[in-house]
Amino acid sequence: MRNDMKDLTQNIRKVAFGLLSLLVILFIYLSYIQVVQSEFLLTHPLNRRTIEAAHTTQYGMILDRNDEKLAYSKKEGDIFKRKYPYAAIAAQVVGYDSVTYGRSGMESAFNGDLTGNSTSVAHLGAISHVLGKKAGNNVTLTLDINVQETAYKALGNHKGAIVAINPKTGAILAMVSKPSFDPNMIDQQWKNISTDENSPLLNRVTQGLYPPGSTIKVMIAEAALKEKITDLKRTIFCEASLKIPPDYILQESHLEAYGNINLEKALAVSSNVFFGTLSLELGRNRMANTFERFGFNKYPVGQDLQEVASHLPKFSSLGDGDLAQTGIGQGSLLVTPLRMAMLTSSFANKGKIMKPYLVHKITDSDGNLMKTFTPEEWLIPTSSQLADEISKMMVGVVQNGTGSSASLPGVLVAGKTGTAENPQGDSHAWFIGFAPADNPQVAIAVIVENAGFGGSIAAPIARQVFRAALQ
Amino acid sequence: MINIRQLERNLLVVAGIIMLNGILAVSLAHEFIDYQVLGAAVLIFTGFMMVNAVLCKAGHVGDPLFLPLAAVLVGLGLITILRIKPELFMLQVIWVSVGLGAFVVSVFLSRRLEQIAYFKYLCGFIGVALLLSAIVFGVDIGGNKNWIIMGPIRFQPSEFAKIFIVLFLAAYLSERRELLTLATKHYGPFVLPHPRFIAPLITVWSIGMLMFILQRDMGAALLYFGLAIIMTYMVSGRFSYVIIGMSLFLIGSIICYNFYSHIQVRVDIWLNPWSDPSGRAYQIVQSLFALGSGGIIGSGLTYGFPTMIPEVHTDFIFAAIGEEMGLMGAGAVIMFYIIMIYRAFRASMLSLMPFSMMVAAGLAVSMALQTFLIIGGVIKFFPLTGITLPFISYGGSSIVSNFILLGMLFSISEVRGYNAK
Amino acid sequence: MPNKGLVLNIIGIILQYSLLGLIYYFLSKVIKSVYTDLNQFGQRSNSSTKNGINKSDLHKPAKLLVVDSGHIKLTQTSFFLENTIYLGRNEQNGIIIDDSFVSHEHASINKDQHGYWLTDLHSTNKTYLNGQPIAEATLLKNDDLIKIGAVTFSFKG
Repeated sequence: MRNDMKDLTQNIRKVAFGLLSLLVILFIYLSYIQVVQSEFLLTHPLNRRTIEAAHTTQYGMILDRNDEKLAYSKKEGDIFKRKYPYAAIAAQVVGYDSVTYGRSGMESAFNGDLTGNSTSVAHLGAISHVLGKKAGNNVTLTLDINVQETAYKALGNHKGAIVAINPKTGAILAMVSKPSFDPNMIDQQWKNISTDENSPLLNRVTQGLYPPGSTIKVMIAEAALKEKITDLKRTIFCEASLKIPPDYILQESHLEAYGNINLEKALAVSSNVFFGTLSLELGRNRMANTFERFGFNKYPVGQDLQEVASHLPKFSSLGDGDLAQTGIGQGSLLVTPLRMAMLTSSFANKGKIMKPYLVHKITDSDGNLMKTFTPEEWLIPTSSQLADEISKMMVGVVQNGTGSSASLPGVLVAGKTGTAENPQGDSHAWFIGFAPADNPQVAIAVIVENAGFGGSIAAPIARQVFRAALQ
Repeated sequence: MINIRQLERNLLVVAGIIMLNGILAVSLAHEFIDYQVLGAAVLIFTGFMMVNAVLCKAGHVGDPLFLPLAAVLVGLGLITILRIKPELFMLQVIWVSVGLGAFVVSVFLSRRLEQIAYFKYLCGFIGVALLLSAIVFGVDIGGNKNWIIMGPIRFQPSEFAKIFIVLFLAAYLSERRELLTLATKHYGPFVLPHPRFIAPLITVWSIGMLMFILQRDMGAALLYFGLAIIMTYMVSGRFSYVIIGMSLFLIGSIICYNFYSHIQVRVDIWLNPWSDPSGRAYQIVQSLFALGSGGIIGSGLTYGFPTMIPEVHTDFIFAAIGEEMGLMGAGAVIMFYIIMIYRAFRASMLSLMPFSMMVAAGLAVSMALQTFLIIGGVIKFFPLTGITLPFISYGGSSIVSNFILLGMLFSISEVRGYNAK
Repeated sequence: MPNKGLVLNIIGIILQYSLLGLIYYFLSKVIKSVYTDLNQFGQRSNSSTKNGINKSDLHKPAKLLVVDSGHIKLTQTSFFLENTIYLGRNEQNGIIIDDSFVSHEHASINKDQHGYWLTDLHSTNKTYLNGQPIAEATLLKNDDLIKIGAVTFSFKG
C-alpha cells in the first residue's frame, strides 16, 4: 500500500511539473508579445489606440502668422473634435484629422507637438497621460490667412495652385491648391473626397507637376548671361519659327516675327525662337548645370513639405529639338509651383534661395515659446549682379510685356508669364514674379490649369495676391 | 514561526489594500468616487477577513495561501470590471460574497470528503447530467452555447460539472488503481486496460466530443478530455494511455476540422490572424493590440482602450489587465495562478488518502488547464476557446464554482497541516 | 480650485504605481512563504527517511492529526501530545472518541527518551497501527496511521 501511494505521488508530481511548465511557457510567450512585439502592435495601422488616445486630450491650435485660428479642438461629448474655421481655404496645408482616416498636412507632420505627447514618456505608464493631459502645443504657421483667402478666391472655379513666399526669409505666406475640400466634413464626405478624379486631397503647390512653359525663360536668360553666350546688347533675328535639324520646327505662339530683338525685349514678348536659340547655344551640359544650380535636382527642401521631385529630361541623350523645347519650358520637363516660386525668389533675393518653411514657432498652451524656426539659406545659384539684371528685365515684362495685367499702381512688379501646353487639354496659365521689385517682400507662382494664356488669366490673379500681400 | 492563520490574515490585508488601491485609482481617474463601490469593496474585504476568522476559530490548519491568492485575483478582477463594465461591478460583488459563503460550506463539507467516495456514481451522474443539460437546453449567450436559463437565474453548468466529474473520476480511479496498473489486455503493440475500467473515461470523452461538436465549446471539451486523460495517467502511471487518449482526441479534432467550418475558422485565425484582422480574427487581433499597447508597465488604469475588444469582461479580461497594467500586472496574474496550482498539487501530494490525493490533483489539473486554455487563447498561443479565467472573469457560475473548488483544496490541504511537525 | 484637481490627479497617478508595487509586495511575501515551506518540506522528508526521530524533534510536541473522523464528532482536528495521553469514550480521556465501538479507555500514547509509544489498553475492538492490530506497546514513527473505531489519526512526530 505504501509503495502504491509513492507511485501515485510520483505521477502527480510529473503531471504538476508538466502543467506548471506549460504556464511558465505562457508567461514567456506573454513577455514576448508585450515586450518584443509591443512596438509592432502599438504602431500597427489597424490599432486605433493612438488616434483614440489623441482625441481624449485637447490638441493644440494651428495658427496663422497673425494668430488667426486655422484649426482648434472643441470638446464634443467625451472626445475632442477638430474644427477648421477656414474650411477649404487652407485644407491641404493645415490638413485633416479623423479617427477613421488618419491625418494629413500639418495635423500629421506636427501631431507630436499638437498632442503634446512626446514619445519619451509614452512608455512610463499612467504618468505619461498626466504629462500629456494638458492641452497640446500650438503651432504657428508662416501663412497669412488674408493672403491665402485672397488667393483662394482669386483662383475662382479654376483648378490650380498659388504659392507666395517671402524671398528674403523663405516664409510661405500663402499656399493654395484647388479644388479643395472641407476638413470639417472629412468623415462624412471621405468617399467623395478620396475618389474625386480632380484629387482635392493633393497639395498642388508641392505635389502638382506641371510643364513650366515660358516662365522657365528667366532661368535660361540668367544662364545665357552667366555663360556669356549673350549680353544685354546682343540681338538675334527672330522669325516666326525656328527650324532645328533634322526635322523640328519651333514656333512663336502667335506666329509673330519679332525681327532683331535683344534679351530684354525677348523676355518681354516671350520669344520662343530667341530662347530656343539660346538653349541650343548653351548646349546639353550647361543646360543641365543650370537646372542643377537652381536646385531642381535637390530633394527635399525644408520641413515636412512633402514635396514631389521635379521631372528633368535626361540631358545627355536629348535631341536638339527637345533641348530647345526644354529651354521654353516644354517637352518632358515637369516642375512644382513651389520650385518656380523658389526660382523667382532667387532673383528677388540677390541670388540667394532661402529654404521655404511653413512653421514659424511652437508655443505651449500657456504661450511659452517651445521652439522657433529661423530662416535658413538653401542655395546661392547666381550672383547678386545677375539677379539684379534679370529682375530688371522681369519688371519690363510687367511694364511693357506679356505680364502687364499683374501691374499695381505705385508698386514696381517683376514677373514672367507662361502658357504651358499639356496633353490634358487647354494650356496651363502661369505667372511667376515678385514685388516690390526694388525691395521684394513677396515672390509668387500662380498656375491655373487648362485656363489659357498666362498673361490674361494668371497675371491678374497674381496682381490680387500681390496687393493682399503688400497691404 | 508565525501562526498560519496569522500569515493568512496578513496576506489578506495586503490583498485588500491592493483591491482598494485599484478601485481608488480607477475612481480618481474617472474623477468620481462612488461610495457605494467603495463600500462594496470594503464589504468584500471584510468577507475575506471573516472567513479567515471562522477558519481560525474552528482550528483549521489548511494552506494559508489559497484564500489570499483568491482574494488578490478577485480584487484584480473587480478592479478590471469596475474599469471596463462598471454596471456589472455590484453583481460581481454579490457573486464573490456568495462564493465566500460557498467556500466556507465547501471547507466544512469536505472534512468528510472520503464519504463522498461512496456517492461516486451520483457525482458522476450529476456531472454528466449538468453537461448534457447544457447540450440539450443550452442557450447561446455571447457566442457560447453553454448557458442554462431557469427563470431569473442563468448559469453555466459546465463550471459546476467539473467538480462532480473530478470527484467521480477520483473515486472511480482510486478504487481501481490496482486494476488499472495490472489488469491490462494486450492488443498488438498496445496495452489497454480492462474495458470495464475505461468505460467511464470513454463516457467523459464522448461528452467532451459532443460538446465540441454540438456546442462549439472547444474549451470545455478540451478541459474535460484533458482531465480524464491526465487523471487516468496519474493512477496508472502509463504514458501509453495519454498517447492513446491524445490520438483519439486528435482524430476527433481532425474530423471536426474537416466537417465543421467554425472549427476551421478558429484554427485558421489562430495560425494566421493577420489574413483577416478586421473580420473573423477581429477579436484576437484586438486582444493582441491591447497586450502590445500595454507593453511592460501598461497604459495605467482607465488610460487604455480595452473596451475595443468584444467580450472583454469575460473571456478577454486578461487582455484588459495586460493593456492597462502591462506585463507587470498580467505576468503577476500568471504567477499567482502558478503558485495557487502548485499549492493545490502540494496539497494533493501531502494528502494521505489516495482518494483525496486524486481529488486535489484533479482540481489542480482542471484549474491549470482552464487557466492555460483561456490565457493561451487570449495571447494567441493556442486557438481561442470560450472559457472563463478563474476568480477574475465576470460571472456568477465561474466565481462560485471556483470558490467551492478552492474550499475542497483547502480542506484537503489540512490533512497534513501547514506547520505540522 | 485648480489645486484640488491637481492634488487629486497626483494622488491618482501615485495610486496607479503603488498598485503595481503592492502586487509585487504581495507576490514576494507569497513566494517567501512558499520558499520557507519548501525548505521545511525538504528537511522533513530527509528526517523521515532516517526512519527515526531527530533529537531536536523531541523538544517539539508531537501531534495526532485526524485523517478520517468517520461520522464521529471530535473536539479538534489535531491534538498535541503531552507526556501521556489517553484515548477512549470516557470524558476523562485526553482525546474523547464518542463511538460505541471504542472502549472507555481504549489506548494510550506516552513519551520517553526514545519517542512516543502507542499502547492498546485491552480494548474490545483493538487498536490498529498501519492496518495491523497491535499486541504490545509500539514506538510510533512519523506518518503512522492509527485507527481506533471509525477514527483514523496520523501521527506527526
